[in-house]
Amino acid sequence: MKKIASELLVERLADWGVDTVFGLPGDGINGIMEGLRRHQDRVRFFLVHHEEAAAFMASGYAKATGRLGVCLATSGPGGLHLINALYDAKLDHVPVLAITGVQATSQLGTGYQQEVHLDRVFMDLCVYNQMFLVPVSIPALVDIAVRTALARRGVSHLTFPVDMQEAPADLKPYEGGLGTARPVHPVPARQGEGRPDRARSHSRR
Amino acid sequence: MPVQVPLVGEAKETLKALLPLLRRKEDRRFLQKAQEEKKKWDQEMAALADPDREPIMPQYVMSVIDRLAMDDAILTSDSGTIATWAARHFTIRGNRQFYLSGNLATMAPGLPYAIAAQLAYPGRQCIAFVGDGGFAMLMAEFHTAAWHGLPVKVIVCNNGLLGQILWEQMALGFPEVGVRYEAMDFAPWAQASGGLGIRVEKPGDVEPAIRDALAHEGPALVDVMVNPDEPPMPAKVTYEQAKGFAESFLKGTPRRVTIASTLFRDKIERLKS
Repeated sequence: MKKIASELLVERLADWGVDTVFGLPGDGINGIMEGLRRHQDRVRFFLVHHEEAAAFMASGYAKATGRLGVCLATSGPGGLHLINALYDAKLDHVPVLAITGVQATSQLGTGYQQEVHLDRVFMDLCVYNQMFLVPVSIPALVDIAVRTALARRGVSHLTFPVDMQEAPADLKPYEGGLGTARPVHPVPARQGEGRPDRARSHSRR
Repeated sequence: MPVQVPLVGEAKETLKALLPLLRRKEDRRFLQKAQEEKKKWDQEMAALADPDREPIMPQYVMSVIDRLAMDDAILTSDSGTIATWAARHFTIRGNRQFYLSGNLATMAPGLPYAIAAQLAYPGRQCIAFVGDGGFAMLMAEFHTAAWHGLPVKVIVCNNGLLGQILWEQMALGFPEVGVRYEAMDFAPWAQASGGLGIRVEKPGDVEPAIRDALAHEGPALVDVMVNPDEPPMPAKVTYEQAKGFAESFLKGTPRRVTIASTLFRDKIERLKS
């Protein structure tokens, strides 16, 4: 069985410690579902009835655990159903990764079934937002998406054209991605402007 | 409040850095006054959680959950009047957690939040305290919880009403419009999904039903018919809000007689406390 590009996505998510993906399949993400099926020992797919609930679960999971919440929806209607709950994550500042499908690269621009450019639709709600064009970029872009969501406590969005999901996994020469180092959270300096010790004694209460 | 010392940093680490710089104030008057006010407020709220009043008060339903839930229970809620009852009558003690849609204030996250929390913490009580409006939006996910074997508990305050909007309309001086449903019966849906479903219409049945639901091994839903005329009164009513209420009454808000009687009874309960 030849390795497909979607497996690179699932493996990379597992490397980041993701163990659950909330979602609902559709014909725009069959490749990603196959990637999840092949690696179900590392990442669990949690099937729901409505994509909005999947995104609420990702947001609620992040709120309750402090970890990254991940949701998956198909192209067009599936991705559009995520939006309200992704704004919940954005406005309450919790890290969420939304993964969607999009029409095959050969059909983009023709108004083919379910052609919705979710990367454009999501522009207002994301801290990171990227469509994939080639499998080799998967590890690095997943790394950036996850790290940005964790660092800026917001929503990252990755969208995969159908043909790319099922393409042979080809990593050379980018096997390593960018690594799974966690973002560092800043603490105010103890010298100069913004020194914590200058904050004291202002309260008269 | 103007910024006096800007500190840019992650909140938890920044507060840790600030803690050693704090000095204990000798003058305790401000704190004492706030503590006294809080005690008075808690007494007033407790007086509103009346087990005897019929129709059932949503405050009472929440107070029963508060009393019976574990010290590490996770409560989720929706936006609207339900958030008011949850915030006022759920005590954060032990390792309890409480989640709602804080800034987006969207309807419907209560149940999916509880499912996600249950998945993350299999051994803890995960309770969704929701209204019929928010629950109906994503109620299919109760079935999701059931077939995934997640024992979430759902308590629905069912008044067939988009309550928050009704009270906003009245406070603005507009008679109510477009806020009432025909109240649905959710217990059969819970049963059809493979969970426990209990319908409650009498105040005396609230506690046994919630007790049964919390003790149930699988997912459970308690559908409580609550008073549709219960106002989520703000802590302080402004003159403009009171004027709006009076105007919407004069313009002919439907059910104004039952709403007025609830308002007066609430006031009397709080004075009695």
